[in-house]
Amino acid sequence: MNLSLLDPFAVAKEYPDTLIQTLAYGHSTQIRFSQKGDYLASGLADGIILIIDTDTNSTIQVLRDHTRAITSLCWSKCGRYLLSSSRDWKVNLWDLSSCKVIRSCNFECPVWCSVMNPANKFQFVAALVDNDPVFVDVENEPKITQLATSPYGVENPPRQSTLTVNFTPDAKYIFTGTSKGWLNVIETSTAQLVRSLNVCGSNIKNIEISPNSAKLAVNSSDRIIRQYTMPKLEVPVGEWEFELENRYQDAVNRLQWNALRFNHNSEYLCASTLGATHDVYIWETALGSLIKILEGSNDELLAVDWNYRKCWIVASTMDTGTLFIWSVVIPQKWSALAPDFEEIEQNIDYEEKEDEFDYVDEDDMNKQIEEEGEEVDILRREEVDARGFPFVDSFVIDSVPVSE
Amino acid sequence: MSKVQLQERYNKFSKAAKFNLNSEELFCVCRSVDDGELMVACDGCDEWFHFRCMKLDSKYKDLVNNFYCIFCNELFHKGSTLWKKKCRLEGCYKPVRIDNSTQKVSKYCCDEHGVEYMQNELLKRFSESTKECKLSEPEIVSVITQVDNFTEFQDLGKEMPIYQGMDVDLPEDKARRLDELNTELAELKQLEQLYVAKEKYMVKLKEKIKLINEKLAGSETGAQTKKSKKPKVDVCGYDSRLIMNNERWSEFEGSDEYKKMLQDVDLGMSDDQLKSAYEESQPVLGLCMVEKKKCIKHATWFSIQYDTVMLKLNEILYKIAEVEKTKSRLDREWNLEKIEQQSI
Repeated sequence: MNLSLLDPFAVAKEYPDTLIQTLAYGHSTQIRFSQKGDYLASGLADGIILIIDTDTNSTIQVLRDHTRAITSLCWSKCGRYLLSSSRDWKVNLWDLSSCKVIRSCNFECPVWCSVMNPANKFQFVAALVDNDPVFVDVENEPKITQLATSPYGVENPPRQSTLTVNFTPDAKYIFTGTSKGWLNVIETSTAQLVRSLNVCGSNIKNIEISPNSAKLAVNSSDRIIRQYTMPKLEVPVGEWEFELENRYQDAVNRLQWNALRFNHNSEYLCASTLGATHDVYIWETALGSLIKILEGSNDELLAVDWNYRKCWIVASTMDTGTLFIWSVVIPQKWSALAPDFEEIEQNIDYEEKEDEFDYVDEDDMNKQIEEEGEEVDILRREEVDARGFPFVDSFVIDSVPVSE
Repeated sequence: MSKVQLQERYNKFSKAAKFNLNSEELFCVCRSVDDGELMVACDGCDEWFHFRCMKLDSKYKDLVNNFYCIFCNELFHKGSTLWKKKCRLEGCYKPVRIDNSTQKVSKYCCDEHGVEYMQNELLKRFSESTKECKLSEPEIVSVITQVDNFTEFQDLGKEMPIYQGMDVDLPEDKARRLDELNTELAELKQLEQLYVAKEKYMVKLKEKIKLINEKLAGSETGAQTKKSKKPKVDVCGYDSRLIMNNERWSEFEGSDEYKKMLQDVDLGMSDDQLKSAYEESQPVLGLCMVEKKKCIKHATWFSIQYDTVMLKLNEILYKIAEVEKTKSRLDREWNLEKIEQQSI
C-alpha cells in the first residue's frame, strides 16, 4: 500500500524491529545494498554474486567470475557498477548494464576487502593478505600504488599489516586499520600517509564512516566498537581531532562484533554479533544507549547492511548463509483511500440523513467544488518519499532470465 | 436343411446310378454327364461336383484350397472347405502369391495388382481426405516418383533440403550478421585454445614442482644420511605468470621460457644452485620457493588458479555452443526462405 497514506508515525520509524523474511539464495558471505536501496548484492561462498531486487525479493541477475568466497562488495553511487573482491585474489568491476566484468585486477594473494572510490568508479583501494594496502586505478592498464601500513610519525613501529580500508564519503581520504590497532589516514590525491591514530592494541576489523560524514566507528577484535566524531575534513589534517564519543561493548557476554553500519544520519549504529547470541544490536549514537536487539536468527551473523530507504536491516548467517531481513510492519489503513469512509467497531443501525438522497443539480455541485478551491496537483512528482528521503534516479538493472 | 433331410438326400445320392444308359459316368448331385462345366472334387469322398450345384460362384475357382462336399462336411464332418487368401485388389479373385523360396505371403496375386491397388487407395484417400493438402495431384505424384524406395519415402522431410548456391546471393545484412558470428566464433575458439593450453601448462607445472621437491629432498638426504627419515621438502611453487592477462599470456606462450617450462626433466640449473635458491627463498624458473606451509600469501594457489581456468573454459564452451546454435538457426531460416522462393 502507498506508504504516504499510512500512519506517519509508523512510516517514519528510524530503525526496524521485526523479522519479516529470510532469503535462502545460496550461502551468502557478503551483502551490500545499492545506494538507492532498490537492489541487494549478495556474494556467495562459491564466488557467485546475486543481484536481488528488494521489491520482489527475487534474484534478477547472477554474476559469475569469482571462484572463491566473496569478501567484499561495493556499489557505485549511480548504481550501475559493482566492485567485488574475493578470496580467489581477484577484484572485479562489474557493469550491471551488461552484467559483465569490465575491469579485473588480480593480486597475488587473497583480498580482505576493496572499496570503490566514491568519486571515480575506476579507482579502488584494497586491503591484501600479508601485503601493504593498494590504491588501484583500472581505467586503463591497472595502475597499482602501494600504500603505507606503518603508522605516521612513530619510530620503530611493530610489524603489522592492514586489515581494512575505507574511503571518506567525499573521497578525499582513505582510512585504513592495521593489525596493531592503528588507524591510518591516507590522502587520496597523493597516496601519502598523513595521520595516524592509535585506537587500541588489537586488530582493527572494520572502519565505518557514516554516510553524512559525521561519525566514525572502529570495530576491533578487543570486542569494543569505538565511536569517534568525524573530524572536519576541510581543515588541515594536522588539526584534526578525533573525539572518542562512545564505546560499545557487551560486558556480560563479551561478544565479538562482526560487522557494523550507521544509518543515514548517523543517529543509530547497528552491529552483528559473533557468538552465542545471534542478534543484531542497535545503539543510539548520541548517548550510546542500546535501544534495540534484533532477534530471530538461529545462527551467528556475519555481514550486516542497513537499507534506510526501506527501513531494512539485513544480516547474513555464518553456517547456512541465509539472509535475515528485519523491517517495520506497518498496519494497513485502507480507509485512507476514501476520506469519508469510517471504520466502525461494531454494527450500528443505519439512519438515513435528511438530505442524503436529495437530487443535487450538477452545476450547483461543480460550483460548490470550485468554491472549495485548492487544486490538487496530480502532475508534478513529489520530491521526497514518505520517509522524507529525496527521490533519486538510479540505474535500473535488466532482469534478464538467468540462462542455465 | 435338417440332418434327416440331408441323410435322405445322401441316401438318394449314394444309391443313384453311377452311369447313364449310354454308359457315361454321372457326376454331382444332379447326376449329369461331364459336359465341360466347371467341377470340383471333394477331398472327403473323391466325388466331383458342379460349382453351380454347390452354389459356388465360378469366379472363386482359383481360390479353392480343400473342398468338402455338403455331405462330407455336414453329415460326416470330414472337414470343411478351405479357401486361399484372395488378392487385395477389388475384382481380382486370384489367390495371393506365395514366394516359394522364402514362404513369404504377399497380399496380392502379382506385382501389377499390388501397384494398382495402392494407386486406387491413394487416389481414394486423396479425394476423401478432409485435411487440407497444399499439394496438387501432380505434385504428389512428382514427390512419390522422386524417391526410389519406401525407406526413402519415409525419410522425406526429415532433413532440411539444402538450397544450392546459398552463399552466393546472401543479402548484405544477413552476410554481415553471419560474418559477425564467424568472427565471434573464431575469437572464442582462440580463447578456448588459450585456456586449454593454460590448463595443460598447469598440469605440467605441478609435475615440475614435484621434480623440484624431489631434487631438493634428494640433495638434503645426502647431507643428513644419519637420519633414517627422509626430510620432506614441499615448496609453494606459485607461478606468477598464471595471472597474466590474455595478451601477455599469448606472448609468454611463444617464448622460450614457456618451452622450457614444458620440458620434462631438465631444470636448467645444478642441484646446488637449486638448493641455495631454496634456502634463500629465491624464485626458481619464476616459481615461488618458500616452504608451502609458510607461504600464507599463496596458500591454495593451485586450486584457485585451476578453478579460475576451468570456469573460464566452461564459460567459453557454453558461449561457443550458443553462437553455433544461432548460426545454424540463421542458416536454416535463410535456407527455408530460399527454398520457398524457389518452389514458387
